[in-house]
Amino acid sequence: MKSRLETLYRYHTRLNRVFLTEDALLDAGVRLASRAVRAERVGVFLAAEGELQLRYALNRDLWLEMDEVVHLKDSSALSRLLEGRRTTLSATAPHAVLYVPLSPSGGDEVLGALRFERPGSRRCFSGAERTTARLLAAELAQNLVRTRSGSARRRQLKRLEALTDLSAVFASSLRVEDGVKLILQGIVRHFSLDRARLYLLERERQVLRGEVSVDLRGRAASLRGEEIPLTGDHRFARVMRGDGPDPLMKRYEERVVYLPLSVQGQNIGLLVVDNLLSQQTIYGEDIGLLRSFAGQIGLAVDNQRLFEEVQSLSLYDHLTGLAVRRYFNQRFQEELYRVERGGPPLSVVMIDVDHFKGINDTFGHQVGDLALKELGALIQKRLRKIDFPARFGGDEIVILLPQASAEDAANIMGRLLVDLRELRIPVPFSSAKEIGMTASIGVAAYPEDGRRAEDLLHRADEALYWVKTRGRDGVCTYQQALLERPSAADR
Amino acid sequence: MRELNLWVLPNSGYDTVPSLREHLYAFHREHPGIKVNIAVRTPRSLWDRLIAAAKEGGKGPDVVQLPSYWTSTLARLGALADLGELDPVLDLARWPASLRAQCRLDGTPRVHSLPWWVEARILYYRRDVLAQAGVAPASLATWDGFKDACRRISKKGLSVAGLQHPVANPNPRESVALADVAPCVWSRGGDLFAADGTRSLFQRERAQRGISDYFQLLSSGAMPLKGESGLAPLDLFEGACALQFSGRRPPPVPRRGPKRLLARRARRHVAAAPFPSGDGTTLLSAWNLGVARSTDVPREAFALLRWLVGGAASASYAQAIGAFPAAEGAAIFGPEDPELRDVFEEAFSRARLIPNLSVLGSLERVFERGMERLVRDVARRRWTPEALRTELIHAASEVDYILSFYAS
Repeated sequence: MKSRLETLYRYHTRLNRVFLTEDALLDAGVRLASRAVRAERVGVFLAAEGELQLRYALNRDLWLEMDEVVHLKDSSALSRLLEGRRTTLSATAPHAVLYVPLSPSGGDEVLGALRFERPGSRRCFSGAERTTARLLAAELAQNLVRTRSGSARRRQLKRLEALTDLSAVFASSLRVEDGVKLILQGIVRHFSLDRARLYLLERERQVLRGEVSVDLRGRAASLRGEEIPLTGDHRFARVMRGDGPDPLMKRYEERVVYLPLSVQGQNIGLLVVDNLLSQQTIYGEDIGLLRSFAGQIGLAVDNQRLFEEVQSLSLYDHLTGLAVRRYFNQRFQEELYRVERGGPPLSVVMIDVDHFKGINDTFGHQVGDLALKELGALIQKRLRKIDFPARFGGDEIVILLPQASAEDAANIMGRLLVDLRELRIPVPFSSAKEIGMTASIGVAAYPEDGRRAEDLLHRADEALYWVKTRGRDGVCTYQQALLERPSAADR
Repeated sequence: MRELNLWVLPNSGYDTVPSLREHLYAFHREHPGIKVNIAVRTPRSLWDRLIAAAKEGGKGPDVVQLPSYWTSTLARLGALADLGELDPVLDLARWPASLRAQCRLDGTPRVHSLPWWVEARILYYRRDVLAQAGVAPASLATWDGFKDACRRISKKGLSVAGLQHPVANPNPRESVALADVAPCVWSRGGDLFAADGTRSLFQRERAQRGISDYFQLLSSGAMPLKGESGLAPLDLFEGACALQFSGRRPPPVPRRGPKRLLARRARRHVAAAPFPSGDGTTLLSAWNLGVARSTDVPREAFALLRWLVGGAASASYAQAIGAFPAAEGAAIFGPEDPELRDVFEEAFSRARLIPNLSVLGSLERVFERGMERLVRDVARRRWTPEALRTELIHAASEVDYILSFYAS
């Protein structure tokens, strides 16, 4: 009796620590139990969906994974354990076999069973060995419950982390095309999905139009060619109409999840996530969280659409904070009238971010947008109050510098370039944590390079082009370009 | 000391780790700076862990064993390294053309795994039991003859000492795998998938008949599921059955333990015949090795892989587990058992592989889930051919849905 109590106490103390996985706990617990009961082999059965699965075996001190289903029959030894029997010996096995339930002491729940075997012998397990095995299994079951709840807590934390991470993406997404790509990449990554596809509703045409698809490696592909009429039999149309799932959808409902995106009760699109290739189950808790994300995605997409509409009506570009082209043209004319009446000099500068397309293609439009935003902020910080910068289109920025000669403007731009080279743009979801940026700048001045707005812009653009041909990351006035490249004057 | 994690399937049951450790002594002598940790994974666990490593990163294996027809799928999922990048002059010429195709990502020249060992399914039978049941061995050449033999053995042959069932179940999982039914499907003139890999065929009439053949063995009780103990039923070599499908040579007779007497007696009467498909068509199972894409030590991992698949090492490991080296097949047989050699040579010459389609690993999971539902019906004595038909049609729709996205 004393020896059994010592065994139990030792067992209790050895298992009384945090095991991160069920596998690690069972390995440790079964190893100790096999020695205490003097079994050569121990099988671990775990209950799942009304069946028992042999999941692990310890054979002569080697821990092995197993994958065998046991369809229980009413009279079987394992069935009797699940019904509450304390221990069972097998009468049909060719060697000594003892079954004990994996059930926490004092509880009714049976988590599974342990099978102790002596394959080389028919020597039965004694009464004392049976009692020890049963008590150790109860202790192990107690620890199994604790380990499982620990794992559930960690999964919950992971989901919260996903929630925080994705919420940040929702908040920072400005354009539909770029925003949804980042959102989908985040969803695929956080929920370990094979693929996520987004379709947006074109209400006038009553079709779902493909937007973007992201695969398990985070690669995005356009779905722009895909259109699904809402009136047809397509499964997506069924989901959008609110029809019930068809038999095939029922079969793969654990691996494909359809998430309608709705805003104020109106469907605006459909998010489809799947694990068809890996055939992994998407669990109910994750589906619940994905559904709540779908609500946020719907809002984000809707906000982005509204944002784009508003932006087209605005004087200022919301991304860079600079004036839009229309407003710039108006101001440029006003400045020209002023200098024509004998005012001080006026320069115009054209800036083009080097390799901006590469930034967009490699890191996504989200990062490209951030780069432009930072550039806009830097320009506003470095310019004089009387200067007037504007986003001319894409990554091109123009600046009017009243009361500045070409040389003055080139000096101001030289200082801007120095600051620009030090700017670092963070890159999420990439091994490159941040990127740098340079620009090419061309300068033209009134009146030596032209008297009309279009001429001055053209000359500044030619100077910029000359910087690009010289290797980018520099400033050049039109006059300098003429000296260095006489052919520029001929063109 | 560099450590390599080698994940293998349970190639020789509980003996997998000890036999592989012994086999690797020679590798450790050649590469004293490398330590190999062996982990035995079930196919399902291997699949899940490789997928998790490909998706989430984290610690996976460095070298991994896989059914050859998973090569394309795992390569596509980004789980396997391109071996051509590790060895620019990689040459597959020493393996038969059929095995070479199982090393590549479907439709590309990129090599992602190399053949390790193979097995070709044949039929073992007990001469004494067949004689007692009045069955001529020649009648085992066709499936109908095989079924008739099962019936006769159930009626008259079970009186032989130790015999419990006519046929041993080759699947220890209490399930039915693609590999179990494939030769039955082929023997009825059907197929599992279209040759171009764009659609399923297992729901068609001929394939259904083949799968039904296999399930009738289970539902009639001729080939048992697990017993009440949950222990795997004893097999032909342990004296408990009269017929057994296997791709391997007979295991050695146990030297001790309660099973040894029956096993010794059974062994005296064991003979072999081709798989009962009429024309001898059977299944060739090939097991390959690949280097995980996530490995930190690709050179060392490739050195281990190259050593394991090398001629001498592959032959000696295959010999140890009763299988056959991938390059030589049945040619490894010595003159000591000419009858068995002839049966295996015939089997290898007529054997077919499950195709290495671009997403076959995924399709196999779909198919086997359907089979699990049917096995549950068998266990509850509710299985019917109609249930099989319905299940195959549903599984086929699911498979075709996946292929509509991923077929190359």
